[in-house]
Amino acid sequence: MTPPFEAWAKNRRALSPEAAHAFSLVEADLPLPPVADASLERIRRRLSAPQRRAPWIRWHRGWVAAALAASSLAAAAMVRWSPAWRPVRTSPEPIAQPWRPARRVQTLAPAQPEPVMPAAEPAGIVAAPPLHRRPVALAAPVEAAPPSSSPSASTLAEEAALLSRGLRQLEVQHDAAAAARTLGDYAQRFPHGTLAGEARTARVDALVRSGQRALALAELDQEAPRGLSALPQGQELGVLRAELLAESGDCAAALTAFEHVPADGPRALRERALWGRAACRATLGDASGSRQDLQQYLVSFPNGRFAAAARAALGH
Amino acid sequence: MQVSVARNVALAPPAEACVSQRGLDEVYRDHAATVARWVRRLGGPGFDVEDCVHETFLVVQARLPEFRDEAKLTTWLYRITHNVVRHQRRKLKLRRWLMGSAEDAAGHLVEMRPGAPEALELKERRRQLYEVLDRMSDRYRTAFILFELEQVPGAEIAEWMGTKPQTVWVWLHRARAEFLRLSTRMQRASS
Repeated sequence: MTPPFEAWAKNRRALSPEAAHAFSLVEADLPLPPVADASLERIRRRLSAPQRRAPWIRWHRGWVAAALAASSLAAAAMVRWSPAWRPVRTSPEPIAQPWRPARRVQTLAPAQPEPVMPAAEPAGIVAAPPLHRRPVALAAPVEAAPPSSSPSASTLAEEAALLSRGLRQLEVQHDAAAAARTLGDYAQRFPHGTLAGEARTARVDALVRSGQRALALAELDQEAPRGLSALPQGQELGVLRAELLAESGDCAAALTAFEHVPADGPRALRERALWGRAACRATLGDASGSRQDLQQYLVSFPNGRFAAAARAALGH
Repeated sequence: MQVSVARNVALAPPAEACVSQRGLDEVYRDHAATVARWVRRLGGPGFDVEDCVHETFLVVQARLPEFRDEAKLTTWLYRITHNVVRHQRRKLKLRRWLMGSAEDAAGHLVEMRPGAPEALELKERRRQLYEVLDRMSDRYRTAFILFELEQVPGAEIAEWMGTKPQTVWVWLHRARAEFLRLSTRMQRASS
């Protein structure tokens, strides 16, 4: 196949004005001069110099806490003192690790001769793994205090420092219990702080990671009436709450919570919600509803992480 | 004509050798210029080529011990480069969105040979070219750049992008139509 732009170059006069314009754009990038040797030599020297940092794949995660602290402070300052600033809200992130069943809660009673769910497969709902935290460029202030009670710069700095310490304990030191305590301190000291939303999300994350699922559920339940979607990664928190409810045995409430996941939400969350709903329905004795959910799951996520289990449950 | 000079030998990477026995120095010496070209093409104006090439070779350095000769070195290098460029473009996009202007860092292209007015015009056309390309989907954009600008054979593009050659032709066909449509729309909007 000949590049059409090469053919166009040979026959420029016959081109339509639109094609001639398109060609002129392409032509602008064709005479690309070679990269200067000096430039390549500079890169070579940088590579052979001792690296102060690991490759980007590693340091990317390592510096999240520091970046978050600095950027949170900057964002908070901008929100407070610049009327033109539009706050940036972090979008919900899918859970990074596969959703692993930690323990079975209840087996699904088959109403039909063929089993709805396999006895050995994840019929129970379990709490999700840690929330995936990405390097947040700007932490969104979720509950901005009213203008009359604008915190001083030192208060903001204290907030940022406390949140930063909690995130460092969680992400760098991998001490989720300490992180949960630190973030709990934050919640007590700054219940309506500028960074309260981010702190609450991080605390739930820390509680789940440290195995304190009941506390994580309590935290989410406390926030639920105000709407979890107002928090950073709110949709994911919604699914997490539903899973924790199911784990605690309250499948009826879990079912309602699973149904609140929006149809246009992130794919990974929809997948978890559908699977969770199927399990809850089966637990509640709604075998046909469960089968319907499993069939829908296989249509929507034929290669999903629970596809094999769903097929087995349907007897395929 | 610049266009017909294409398919030159300079673009072709050196012959493959037993890579697992090579060190980073050797890979860098043989492939740095090629990687830099890919970065410049895929990144477009305003892209820090040196930094991106450096990042790419940091990844290469870290992963070279894992590299087995089952894959072609150029394919492996291309995929690393593509991922690093994509990552950097995302960061650049965010930075531009936060800072406002997109014109801040496109200065290094003025050092082309023609005189100042021509250079400015060339720079402007190059900016427009990448503005159009940036509106295309990543796969169409990549296929278009590799085939039309970098002039890599279709079979090789298919290997690099991990797909079948027929698929690449389909993508190219659609990418060209998309390019023509978008550039026409942009021209009308500006006039």
